[in-house]
Amino acid sequence: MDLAREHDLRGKAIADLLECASYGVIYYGADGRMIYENPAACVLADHGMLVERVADVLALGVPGPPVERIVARTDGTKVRAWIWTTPMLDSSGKIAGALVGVIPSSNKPQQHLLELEAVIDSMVDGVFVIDRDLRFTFANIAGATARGLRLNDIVGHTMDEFSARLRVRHPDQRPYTRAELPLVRAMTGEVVRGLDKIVFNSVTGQDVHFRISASPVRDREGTIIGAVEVASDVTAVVELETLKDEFMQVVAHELKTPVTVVKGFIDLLLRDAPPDMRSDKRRKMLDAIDRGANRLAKIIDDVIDVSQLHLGRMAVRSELVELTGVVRKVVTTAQLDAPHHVFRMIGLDRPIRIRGDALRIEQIIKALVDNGTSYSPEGGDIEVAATIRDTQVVVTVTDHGVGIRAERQPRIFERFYRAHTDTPYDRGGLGVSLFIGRQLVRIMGGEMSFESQDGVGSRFSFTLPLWEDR
Amino acid sequence: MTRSVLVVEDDDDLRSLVAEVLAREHCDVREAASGEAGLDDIARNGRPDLILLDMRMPGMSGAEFARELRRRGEMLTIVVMTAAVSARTLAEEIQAAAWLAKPFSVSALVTIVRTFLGEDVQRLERRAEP
Repeated sequence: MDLAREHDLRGKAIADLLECASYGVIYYGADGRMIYENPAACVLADHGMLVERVADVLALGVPGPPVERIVARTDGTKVRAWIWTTPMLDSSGKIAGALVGVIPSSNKPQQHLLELEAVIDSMVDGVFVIDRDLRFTFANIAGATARGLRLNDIVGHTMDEFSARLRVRHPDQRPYTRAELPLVRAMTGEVVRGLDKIVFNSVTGQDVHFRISASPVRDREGTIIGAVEVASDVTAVVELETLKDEFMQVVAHELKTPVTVVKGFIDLLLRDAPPDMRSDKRRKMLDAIDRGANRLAKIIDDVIDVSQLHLGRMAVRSELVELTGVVRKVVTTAQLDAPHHVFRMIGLDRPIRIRGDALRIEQIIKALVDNGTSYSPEGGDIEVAATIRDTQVVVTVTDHGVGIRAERQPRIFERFYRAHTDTPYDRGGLGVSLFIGRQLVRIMGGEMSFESQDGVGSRFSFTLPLWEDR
Repeated sequence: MTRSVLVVEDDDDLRSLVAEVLAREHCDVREAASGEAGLDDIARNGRPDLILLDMRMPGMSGAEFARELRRRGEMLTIVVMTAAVSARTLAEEIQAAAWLAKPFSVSALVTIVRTFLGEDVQRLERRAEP
């Protein structure tokens, strides 16, 4: 047999083999264009993932490392396969093209995995898995669709490659830093639960709100080899909450005028009441209506503040405020309402210039002073003190009253939490003044904290920036 | 001399409360239930010494009323009465002299009226201008 004939026969044998092979073989030219694919390769739905690897091989001239990927077929099924890429050299050693093999992984575990994948793909929640290099090794359809991405945009890529397009933000629209991302946190071993984030879907042009859980994935030895994230689309819930807050605002707003009328006319009636009416029943009735109207007014203000804060629409000024005057005003009014308490102002014998919103600062101090008098029913001292620390002022309000039980302390800054419910010291109210106070302080660039001992008293502190002349 | 105060407020009950308080302060009270009625009143009865102005009214709003006055060259002292959260900003926007955030108390109303109809009213009026 001559050499040319033997060469032909070998060529035909290889061609026949490729035509009936169960694994895919694709040949790309040096320019990266596909020249040949065998029937097994023809059923692959998407060559995008291969093209990238071929480009690498053509550029570097060395075989790419085999990788295991899930590849979609044109009939909609998926298969897990090993992908091999190797350069083809001509007789002179120049790169003439690249050969790609797509070889299905062994059948038994694959069936199990595909079933699992089918289950995860039919989930409503998004599921993502990353490896140690923060590269996505898995994403389900719901997860990709909700973000306006295709699976191929995600799997095989690192989060940095598409995070800019997603504009990942906190519920208050602050952008997420890389270290704050749930999957990045999970890679450090942390289990993240109930974290909220907003993601922009460029397909629908809408923001999507997610509630995220993430946890590390460990191997048998306990080493972290990746992380998994589950994301529930809570957009509808968030929209409903916004609607609720807006509704609360409208209701509270509409109540303001009638409450002004009630308060005003009672005030006039009380002014008109003759001096000998003091012990009269009718006078007591008027006093009760007056108190009721004042409580209504307080509730209306609280509801509006809470919903404004929740909606992120609280407008807080940043202006020069003279703290000592504000404290004096609050203390003077408080002394009229609480004649059995002794109010002391410490470190407030000279003007203190700070930056903030004068009305809001007055509201915060008043809330703390009112709490102090309410929860020290025996009377006693209420101290309001100011100390300068670096570029900040620390304001403390101290009472010597009933204190807060240790087990209730962690929750006192929560919305609608009332630490004194079911105790003889329950003073009613919405349980929002500390929530509002702390949020306002934070908006003005400070922080609020407290210490308290059951039966001894409480001390609330907050910081605010000192005014700096520029 | 009796000071005249124009109350522009669409809520009848609130308007009569404010009018009652003003009457007790010996003011000459003029009432208008809308912005348009307020402008009519000024055209007919002349400039009041003080205007207490509701912001949200059907038809002409408080802000539109204030703008129209300014357009006519009337520099009048206005105190805004509003239920809006941003009472102070609203007052600043129409260059009002002060604001009363609803629900306000009778004593707050009295303080405002005495301040702006008192002896130093000229000084405050000037400060209210841009």
